[in-house]
Amino acid sequence: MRSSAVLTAAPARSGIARAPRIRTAVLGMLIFVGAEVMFFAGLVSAFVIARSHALGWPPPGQPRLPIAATALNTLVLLASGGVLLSAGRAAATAFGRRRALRRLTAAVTLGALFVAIQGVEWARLLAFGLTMRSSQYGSFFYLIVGVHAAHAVAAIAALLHARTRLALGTLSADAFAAVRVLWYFVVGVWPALYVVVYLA
Amino acid sequence: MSGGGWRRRRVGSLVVATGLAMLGASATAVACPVCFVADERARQSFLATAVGLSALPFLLFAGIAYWLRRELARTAPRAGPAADDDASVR
Repeated sequence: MRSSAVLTAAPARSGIARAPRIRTAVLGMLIFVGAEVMFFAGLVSAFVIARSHALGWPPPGQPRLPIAATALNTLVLLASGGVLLSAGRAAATAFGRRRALRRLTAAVTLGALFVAIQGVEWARLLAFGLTMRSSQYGSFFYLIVGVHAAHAVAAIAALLHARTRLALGTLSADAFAAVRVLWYFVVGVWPALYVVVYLA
Repeated sequence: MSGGGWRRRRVGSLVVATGLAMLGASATAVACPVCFVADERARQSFLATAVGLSALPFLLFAGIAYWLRRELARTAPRAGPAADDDASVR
């Protein structure tokens, strides 16, 4: 039986509640993601305007960002999104739970690897003198990339929770779809941030 | 045509002509950061971000509306069992 929440919950005239039509968990997550997209758009627009006013970018004396290493890391994150997509497809098939569980574990591992590599790069940049207070360049870099990393960590926690429930057999299709939407957002927004912050 | 109708049309034409004349005489608002930035690159950035931030909510709403429409089409009552009755997740 489908476990979607009921959007059209008003009982019909016969007194029987209508069948669920909309997955409200997914709808709620989509609205949340919409708000987050606007939040990131605000940060990016502030960054673009600040950069356009600067005489030199990056400012003199500030380290360059690791473009190649982060490009590889971007591929890791994209792979994580692809694996999660296939996990969702596996979960929708009969007897696909173990396959979905394996793929979900792989997606979480790749996501965690992305965050770990970002952490290592941050440590190196800090050692080279790029801090929140060193320049506008550093402030924007740590703010934008840091906010994304915070989202990634929260989404990984949600994926881990979903994995536990999937292993126990108590994960609803709606909850799984909502968590996947969150991770797709984290994966989807990163290439745009990479292009704006690292390449442009 | 009655005299009152002719008079109303004349007043209407006068109002439209005055409005058009005022539009022609208006100057660009100096407060607009997009219009008055010395640096061309900064002006382009203001313009691009203003357009982007203005269009984004509409795109988001359109995306959610598209998803809702697709979802309603997917869950439209059909004969036979639902497609994911035997899925791995409940």
